[in-house]
Amino acid sequence: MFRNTKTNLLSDVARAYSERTLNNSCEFSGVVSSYLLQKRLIRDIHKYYVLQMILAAQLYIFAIFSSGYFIFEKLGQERHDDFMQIMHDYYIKNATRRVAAFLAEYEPQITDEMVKPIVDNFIEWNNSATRALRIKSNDYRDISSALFTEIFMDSFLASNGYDALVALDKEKREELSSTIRDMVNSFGREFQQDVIARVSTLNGSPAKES
Amino acid sequence: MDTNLTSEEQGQLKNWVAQMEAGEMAQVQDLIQNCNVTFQFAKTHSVYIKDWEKMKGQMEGNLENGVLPPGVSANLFRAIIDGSDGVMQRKLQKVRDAFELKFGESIYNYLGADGKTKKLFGIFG
Repeated sequence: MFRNTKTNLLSDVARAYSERTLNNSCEFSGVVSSYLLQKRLIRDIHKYYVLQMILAAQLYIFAIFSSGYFIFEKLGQERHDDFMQIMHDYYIKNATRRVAAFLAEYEPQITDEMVKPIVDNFIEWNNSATRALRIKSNDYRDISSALFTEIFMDSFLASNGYDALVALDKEKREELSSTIRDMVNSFGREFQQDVIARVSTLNGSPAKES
Repeated sequence: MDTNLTSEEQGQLKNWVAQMEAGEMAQVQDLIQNCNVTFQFAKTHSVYIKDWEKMKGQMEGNLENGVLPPGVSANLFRAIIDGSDGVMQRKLQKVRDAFELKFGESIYNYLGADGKTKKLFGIFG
């Protein structure tokens, strides 16, 4: 009974968090891509949209990863697995539809069918890179940092024709990396406050906040 | 002041605009103080516009369909929409000015001409 209540609670949190985070991820990736386009660091329009898709996906995945870690820390492995299953079953599968809807606001020709293979490939790449990083470290902070700064910025973008972006000057590149991290942290803080408030109500006493 | 409104309505409108202005400007002040990242600052500008466009569209639709809050005439509701729009335009201007002051460049380096993420119609394919 209690387990079901907690799972429902996590389901509510997951729904609200996923909605906000994906919306924020799309908006944010849109601004980053607009900036890069105006600075002529991306010249190809197709690449402009693809970058928005994969940046939004990257940000969304980081945020989910970080929220899962928080659930693991505060509520244990069982709740973590429930939470990640909910996120995976429904929200990750729906991510492409939502990213497509966001982009279609600007470019009506973009459809879910066009976005899905690109985001799916990216998610597959991301999962494989994460598995490789997990062999070296179990700390999600190490993993997410390495994933973005080394692997995403260098290997992934370079191999997908974003040479100008890879060659971004050091200062701007660091700003971009730290911005992505700040965004994930900001989503994470919001999520944590939400979970803490809901769990406190359920337990009848304030949950421990780190 | 809108002369189609009764004096009571003019008072209501004035209060509405003052309260909204205080809330919206406090939000901008918080952004100015706490957001130190260009991309995030610019994203917030884009989101403010989109949220307001959505809200304004809903209000215009309600006015058109005669769905008004209790005790609010169509004239007052029209004036509230226009007054709110004025507040939002001042809010957005404040965000743009603060961006330039804080980061030493135009917010439009990060956004399209409409202040939102850049639109590129009809080129994808």
